[in-house]
Amino acid sequence: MAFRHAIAMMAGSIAVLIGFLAGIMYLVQSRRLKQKRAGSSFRLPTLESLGRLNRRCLVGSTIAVGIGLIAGVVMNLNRWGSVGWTDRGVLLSTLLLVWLLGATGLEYFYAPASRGRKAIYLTLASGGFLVLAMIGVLTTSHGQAEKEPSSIEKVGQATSAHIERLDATEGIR
Amino acid sequence: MKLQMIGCSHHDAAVEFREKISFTSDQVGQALNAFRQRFPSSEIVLISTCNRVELYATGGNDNELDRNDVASFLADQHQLNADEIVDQMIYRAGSDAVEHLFTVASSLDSMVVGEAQILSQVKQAYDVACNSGSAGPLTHSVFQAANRAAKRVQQETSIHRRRVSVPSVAVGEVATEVFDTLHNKRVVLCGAGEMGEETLRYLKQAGASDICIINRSYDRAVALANTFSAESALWDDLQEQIVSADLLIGTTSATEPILDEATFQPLHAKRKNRLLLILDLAVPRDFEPSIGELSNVYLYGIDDLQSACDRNRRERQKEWPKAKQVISEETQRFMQAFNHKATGPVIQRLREQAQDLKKDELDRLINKLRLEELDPSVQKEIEKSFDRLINKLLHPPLASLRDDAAEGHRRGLLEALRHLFNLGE
Repeated sequence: MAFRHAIAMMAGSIAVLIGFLAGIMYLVQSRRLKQKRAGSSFRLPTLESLGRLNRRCLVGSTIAVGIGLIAGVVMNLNRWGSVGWTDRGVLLSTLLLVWLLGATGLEYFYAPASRGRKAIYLTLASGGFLVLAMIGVLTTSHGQAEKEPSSIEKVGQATSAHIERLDATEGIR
Repeated sequence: MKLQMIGCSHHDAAVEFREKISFTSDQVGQALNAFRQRFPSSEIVLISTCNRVELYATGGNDNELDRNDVASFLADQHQLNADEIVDQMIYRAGSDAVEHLFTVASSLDSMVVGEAQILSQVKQAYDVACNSGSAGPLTHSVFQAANRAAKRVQQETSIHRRRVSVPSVAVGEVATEVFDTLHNKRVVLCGAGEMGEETLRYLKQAGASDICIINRSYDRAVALANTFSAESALWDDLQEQIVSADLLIGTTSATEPILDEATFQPLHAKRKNRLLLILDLAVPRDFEPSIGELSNVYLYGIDDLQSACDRNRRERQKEWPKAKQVISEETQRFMQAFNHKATGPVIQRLREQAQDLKKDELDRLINKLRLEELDPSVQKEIEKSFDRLINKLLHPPLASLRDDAAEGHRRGLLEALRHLFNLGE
């Protein structure tokens, strides 16, 4: 399950990153075309293909991050019986998923945004959320120590184990 | 045999004269036959396009045809004065004529340098000459070499790759930066005039299949739509057509814009702000320029496209020296091969003459010394000595002749050899 979680989150991150780059290129290409520089020696992919790549990355990243998050939750529940929602990595990854779901919904169900420049801005913002989530994952012990769901849970588990031991000792006496 | 060219083009003759001297496709065949009847051992290829008329001819020998003969033939074909032909048309002969043909075929002499049509027109003229039997060994080799030279220019320079007409730049360079393909795009073309027709041609080449032509004169729109397998719509449906359009092209002659921003904004909302490319090829403009400032709308006017054309023209000019270098190399190569070929019969006759002399002298010697009674190896050795003598004697003049041929027979050694050894014509 840990493997699925890692692969899905990595695929989602790559999709967000590609979407981000496609979005940047879309804006550059759009600016070139507005400035009537079509046909010059500097060439970028067409607006149509950049827009399509951007939308595909948005959907792909939403699905992959969703799968990754669900896999992470299942993994934590199996191992520890609970999820450390307060972990910064988990929190920011959840925020990234919520944002991606919102952005995908906006892209496909809000008509004026359909196939427009707004989708590009949404993907660019997704890149920002990805950076936040990465910082959250890389600056904490998320995914590094298998036995630590979170420090609070660790204290709770240690306390309950101690109480059990005390109860057992009193029972012997 | 010497290639001669008499002709005129947009560079040196007015359109009125070109109209008078031009040939229709039927007239070309008749002219070729008439030329062959007048000069039976000649070869002729006639190129007649809207921008040039050029007649490439060669006689059976160098004295059979000259400039006046060809000029008087052309004058007779069009009931003109031969002096007018001589005055108005340029004349090239020998390597100059070959280089001119290579330059024309490579489209370096065209009105729009680098246009692809001229090579097919040259090929077509050569095919007509082949079919009518008026092409011969020299015209075969020179027109095939012209095709090779033109292909080399195409491959080794980018002179043909830059578009220089407004509709070709609009469709080939601007639309291709916005859309992957025009195959599944709704194209709405406003106007059914000359510019509209030319644009349609490029749209079809680019793969556009869903084209709607809209024009104030509906009949004209229908006629053009039928020619290009497109749809037509009434002028009143313009706004409805704009809503469905991905590519909107204006080529009308309307004096006021046919679409302003205020009218377009609700239509754009109806389109859900879908990507729209507008190519305004009309003068005065068909679309208000402020439409191009809206999100997801890209508007290119004729001035924007014209500047792209000028930029491409400048790029082509940069390739010009490279292309000219290819042409001069190909001309030199052709002339060398041609001159070398011309020395072949003379060398062969000289060798035959030497062999005859050798045989006579050898027979005389064998009879006199009764060599047949001796060892055959001695007879063979004597024969070998004769051969070596001939080869040593002929080597210096033949080497000089080859060098002279490579330089275009400047020193006239071929003629000298012919006369010195009495080799005949």
